[in-house]
Amino acid sequence: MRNTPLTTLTGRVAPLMRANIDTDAIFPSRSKMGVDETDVSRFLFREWRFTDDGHERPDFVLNQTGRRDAVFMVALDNFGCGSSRETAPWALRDFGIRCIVAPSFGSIFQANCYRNGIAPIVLDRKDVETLGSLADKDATMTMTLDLSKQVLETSGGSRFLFTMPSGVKTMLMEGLDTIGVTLTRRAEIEAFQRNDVSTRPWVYVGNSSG
Amino acid sequence: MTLTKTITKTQAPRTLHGKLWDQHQVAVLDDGSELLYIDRIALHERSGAIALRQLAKSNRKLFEPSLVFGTLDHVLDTRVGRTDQTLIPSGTEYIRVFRNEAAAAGIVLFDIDDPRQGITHVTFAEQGVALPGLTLICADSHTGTLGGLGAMAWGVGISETEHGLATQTLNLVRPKTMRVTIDGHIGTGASAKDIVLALIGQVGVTGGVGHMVEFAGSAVRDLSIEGRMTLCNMAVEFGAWSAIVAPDASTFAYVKGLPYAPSGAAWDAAMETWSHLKTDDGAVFDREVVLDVGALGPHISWGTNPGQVASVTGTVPDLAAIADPVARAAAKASLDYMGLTPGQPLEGVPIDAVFIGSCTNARLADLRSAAAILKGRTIAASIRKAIVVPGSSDVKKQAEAEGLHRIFLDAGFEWRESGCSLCFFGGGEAFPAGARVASTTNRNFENRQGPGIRTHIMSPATAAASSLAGALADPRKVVA
Repeated sequence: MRNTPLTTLTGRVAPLMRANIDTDAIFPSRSKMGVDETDVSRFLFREWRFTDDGHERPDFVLNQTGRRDAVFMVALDNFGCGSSRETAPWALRDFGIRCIVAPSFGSIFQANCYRNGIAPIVLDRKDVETLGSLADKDATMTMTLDLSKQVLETSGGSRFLFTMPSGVKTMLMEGLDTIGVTLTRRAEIEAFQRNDVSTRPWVYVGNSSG
Repeated sequence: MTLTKTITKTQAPRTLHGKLWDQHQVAVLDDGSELLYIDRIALHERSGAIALRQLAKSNRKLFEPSLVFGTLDHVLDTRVGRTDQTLIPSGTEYIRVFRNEAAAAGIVLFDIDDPRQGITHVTFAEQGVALPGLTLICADSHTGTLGGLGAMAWGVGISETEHGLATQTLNLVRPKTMRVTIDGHIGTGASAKDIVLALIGQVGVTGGVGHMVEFAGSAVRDLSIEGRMTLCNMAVEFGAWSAIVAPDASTFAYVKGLPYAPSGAAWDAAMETWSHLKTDDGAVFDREVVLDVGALGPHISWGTNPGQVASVTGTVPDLAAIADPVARAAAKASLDYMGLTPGQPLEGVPIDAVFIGSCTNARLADLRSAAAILKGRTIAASIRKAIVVPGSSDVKKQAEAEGLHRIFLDAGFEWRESGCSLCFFGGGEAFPAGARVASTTNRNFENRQGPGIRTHIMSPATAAASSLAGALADPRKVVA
């Protein structure tokens, strides 16, 4: 599957300055999602965003004026820890969030972001706190991401440089169909497997006894 | 053979992880990442249904269906007399889509009535689907559990699962290496769960982010394979990408004779390779952590992340004593959610419910440990719900053969069919709103076991002792 390429991005910023925001919080397992559902944004932060009877909680950041159309989210350490559920980045993407800035991420969540056109950007905690504080003070603040230059710049002129491994950066910028790219190496994979069948035959007894 | 040995000697000492990466490397890509060969892909109905459906929709075929295995655990009901119907909204759809797509893809599925059905990370160990030295992925964060067998196993998302299914590879940047050496003899009443809770309490929930962890040391060697799986299961809770224990004589004894394990000449060939699956002397890790667990006692979580733990004889911490402001703010929020106050002793905090189950602690040894505490006793009258959910249908059968189910039933527990169950919303069930739960699971996150549920994670022995007391309790005080 191809994603919409992400090269530059400009928009509002939602600060959610907590540590260890887990994927159960981002996409609760009680979500009534069907197998083939394509827009899962209504489940995003369900317990924090809505009361049990479905009313918005006005104090939650994504319910506040100026944050509903946020494209950036800023959070503290270990964002997206916990369950591997890819529905968490899907819900963020479907809501419109295309870039998350945090001091660190849960590793599966981070890998899932790259595969779904969301840039997970790591900055020092001090810079994240500065950015979060700027966004908190001014709901009209916007930010611009330039992936090729690896820089974030706020409308007030604050600049933050970051690094990102080149492979995943390319994946985001070109919206690559990664399966298609890997399948161009099918011959190499088949050659590896042929050799492996002779050196590690027990790996392949698998289903013969089932 | 001589040539192989010469080459090995000229190489720099390697970690076990390093050897497994080298062995599975199909290609090094231009950006420095690697295309890694995947030996096993495990699927469950929650994420597997979507992965197989999406692959089918994109008109792609499985690269090697014989290396892919499925089971039902997340959505499946665990109540006795279960069918495809389940309390999870759209749950039946997940089960049926998964069953149909698995059949169309030609993969083995441990279906609802199959005696091999069970929690992914439990049954795939018991059946020998996971083996030492294999790379194994599953769209489930607790896949690292199978590192307890010496497999290199890690959790992925649905897109990466699709990539694995279509290409038998994953494109990865090699994580950093971290060795956690655990020495000493744990005290009476403590187990692998208490070791890993104490470890996470020490290194914090981000202590392993970006690293693949090898557990070593005498305390790890002393653990059963089941205990090693409990240990590896929770490595993701301190952020580790994956975890492994080098296979040894205990591992080989566990694996030998399992349904999908090699036999005869294939076993001998496998053993020749498996005996080299260890870190070379002098190999350098990016990070080393050492933990002495001498006389370690039972541990319980007090907060809403698995690093917020204390000894069962300890107290809820004083917030002012937490130096890091982010950790202090997190602790404050946790205590508000948990309804606890700084300085409060953990022992004696009243509980409403007990859950013994999950990929962390629902193997036969776990059930034996809880049953030893419960034998001839009954749970406190104040307990509103007490459940035992075996990790697999095979564990259930073995436990019943030993009479463990009678002990649980007589004590006042429900005795369930196998599945993930109330670890989260498994099977569509949750605890009564706001209940405080003694749980043998791996995550004490807010709302995970139901809205407002206050989860304390602990070992099966501690959960059993707490069920008797109707409050958090020290299993060492239950007199045999």
